[in-house]
Amino acid sequence: MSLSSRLKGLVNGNTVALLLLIAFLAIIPLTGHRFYMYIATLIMIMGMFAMGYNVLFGYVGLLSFGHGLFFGAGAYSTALFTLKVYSDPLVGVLITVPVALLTSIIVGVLTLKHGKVYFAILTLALSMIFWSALVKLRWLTGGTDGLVGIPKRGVFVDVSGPIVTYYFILAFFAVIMLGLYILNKSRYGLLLRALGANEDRLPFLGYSTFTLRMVALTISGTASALAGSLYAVFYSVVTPDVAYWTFGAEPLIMTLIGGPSYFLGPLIGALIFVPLTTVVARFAEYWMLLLGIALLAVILFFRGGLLGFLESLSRELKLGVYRRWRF
Amino acid sequence: MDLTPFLTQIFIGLYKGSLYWILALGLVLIFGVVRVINFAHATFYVTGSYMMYTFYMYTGNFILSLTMATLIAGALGVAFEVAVIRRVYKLETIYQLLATFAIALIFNEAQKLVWGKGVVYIPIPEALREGVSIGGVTLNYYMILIMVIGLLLFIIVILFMNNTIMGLRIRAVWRDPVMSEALGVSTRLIYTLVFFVGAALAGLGGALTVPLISVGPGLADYLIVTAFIVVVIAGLGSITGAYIISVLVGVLSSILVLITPELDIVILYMIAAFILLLRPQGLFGER
Amino acid sequence: MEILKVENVTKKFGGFVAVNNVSFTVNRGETVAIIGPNGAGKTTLVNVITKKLEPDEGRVFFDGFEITRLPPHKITKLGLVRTFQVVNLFPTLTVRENMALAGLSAGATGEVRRVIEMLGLEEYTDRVVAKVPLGVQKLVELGTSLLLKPKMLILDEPVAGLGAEDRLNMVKVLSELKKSLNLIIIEHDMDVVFALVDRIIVMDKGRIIADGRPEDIRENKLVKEIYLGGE
Repeated sequence: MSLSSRLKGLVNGNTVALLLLIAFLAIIPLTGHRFYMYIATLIMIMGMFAMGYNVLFGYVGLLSFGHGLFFGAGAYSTALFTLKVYSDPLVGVLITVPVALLTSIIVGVLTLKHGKVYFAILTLALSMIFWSALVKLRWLTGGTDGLVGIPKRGVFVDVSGPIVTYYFILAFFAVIMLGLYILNKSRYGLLLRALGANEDRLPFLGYSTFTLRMVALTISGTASALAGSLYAVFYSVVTPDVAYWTFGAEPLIMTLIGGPSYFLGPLIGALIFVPLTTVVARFAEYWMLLLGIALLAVILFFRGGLLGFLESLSRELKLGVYRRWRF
Repeated sequence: MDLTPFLTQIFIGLYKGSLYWILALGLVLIFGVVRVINFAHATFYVTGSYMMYTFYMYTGNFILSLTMATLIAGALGVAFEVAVIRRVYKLETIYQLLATFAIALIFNEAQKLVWGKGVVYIPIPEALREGVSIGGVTLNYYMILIMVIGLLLFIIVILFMNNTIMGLRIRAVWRDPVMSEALGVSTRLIYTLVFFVGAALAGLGGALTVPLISVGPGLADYLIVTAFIVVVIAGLGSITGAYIISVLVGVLSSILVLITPELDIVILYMIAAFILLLRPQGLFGER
Repeated sequence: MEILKVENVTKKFGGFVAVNNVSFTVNRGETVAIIGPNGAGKTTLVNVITKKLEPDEGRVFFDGFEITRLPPHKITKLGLVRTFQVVNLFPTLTVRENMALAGLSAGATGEVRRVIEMLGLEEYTDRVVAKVPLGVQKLVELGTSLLLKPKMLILDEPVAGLGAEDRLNMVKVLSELKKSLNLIIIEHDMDVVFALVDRIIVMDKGRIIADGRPEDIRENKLVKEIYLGGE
């Protein structure tokens, strides 16, 4: 394929929407509105988390109840590294990558050799083990108080101003989104979708399903860990809550809201979920209850999520445009 | 060396293990028959605890409260099966897991709303506070009662499964739901029944827990993970395995509290992970 | 020179012996059919050879390697490729994507287009597999198998469910293929079998009851009684 036709292939609904979103996020600080920036930052972080999550859920069809483990591993490795080893936010975020790779491999070896049911059970169990370790190892993790004072000013970068922090996070967000998009269009994206479509057939095409699942888990885990790492930089504080199962369920909920079969589904989910929960949490203490009910409703009645609903709507109206948004 | 602390921990481990078993039993029954892993199972357990507490506060009658807690948990199980689980039987496994997960989330939060974020507790019935002294450690009758209930449940389930027509039917569904449906076993009724039994057992376990352990938010999360570890190590679907491993986990975790109070749970889980690496099908599971 | 050697293979399901102590060898260049009534154990035998199922007893050798303990993806990599009785593809992916998966696996992405043309699938390339006719799906499955560069191809009922025209087309394609690679065909359609193969293995109740040239098998009394007699 020639370069120009390759480039043409990259221009479609997903890329346009993604670039528009990034551009939109880039101008938000110009409003000077701190609350909007706060919400937008959370959308980026949780969006990254959910997009990473969906590599496993939407593509491969593996349901993880323990992605808080990866998010937490990212957050804590950045916190520990910047506080105890080398005080720089950029290095602190980048150090997450090898940590995430290692974590993914350990988790993968323990969970991927069994069926999907085992995977759900074991990821939940592992994340809760990780959570109890974070709570119990007080000397290292600060226990339930967590770690505070994660530096924003470092040797290489200084992100101490809110606007600089914002663009620092936006830069990572953009890189990860484009990375995931390229993955989606690459041969690995095809392989991961094949794994979700009919994993029993793959060995007879010469592929090891274990290896492919491991690749998916590693990509998913790394994106999630980077989201956690940025979360630590953003708040300057991490507590064990980020590894708890209810937090680990959030990317799942966002993905289901947006639509797991669509490339941008999880991000759309984050766009809805983050503002809603931030606002609702302010006046309804038990918003998690509402969330649970919403989750159940989505599972029972709208399994395609918002984009799935729009696709079937467009089919009803014979518009036929939304199919292209699937990955 | 003074061994009494160890003996105390072993006794604690034995009754805790029996409670884990009562929880795990329902999980295994539901998985074996209905093929659904119930992430909401521990919330039935905690529902039993809270119901026990509430009824006891109003009536002061231990037996009545225990019965009501068990029945209400069972009824919730039936409601859950009829209203939610039935809709997802034909969907992919992933959606069944998700549905039970959503229910767990809802129950957890609803319980915080009703009973608050604090812990609840009731006294041990007066008649059972006394106990026997073994090796210088007093084991009260209430703890013994729990161990006996655990053992009795094990014997009853095994006898029921092997010696009754209903047990035979359940084993048939366990092996092959499609075939047994073809042979005229009504799976629908059996599914609902199993949910009732599983949830009621969880409720019973939860109710029995309140006099010994303060019940509050977070207990269900800890329990479901422990129950999962038990059934995974035992081998999903093995009843005998679940009993043995539950008691072992109870005792081992109690002893570990004494040796490494910082890392008790972490070490236990690492042992579990190691076993799983060596024997993915569990210690009592068949491939 | 033998390419496939099956030695005393047994597979049980509970008390039912699906494959009972089966041994045979296939030589290079041979085209073999395995026939037998339903439940004779043909598909189970193929499943055990390709490790879709674990054998209970016995050993299997392919192209000089023992493959009894190898996982299925390694067996495929060695060049022993199979298709399935019920079409087994990636239903949500397009015809081209299905082919590309096989091409990627064997480093033959450049040949995807050629195979699509050879099988006459040009008009279907960008359609989702779930929504193309069965005859096309069967050809796609054959195409993915070819892209894996097999030394031996085991086809489980390649014409089952096809109409007369698709059937003829498939036989034409297969008789081309058998010139360049070893085929094992499990098939009920005797016309197809006699048109294609050099040798027939007859199974019944998990055992091999006859093994020989098609014309001998046609005359074999036992076979007639059990199998051909029913036609």
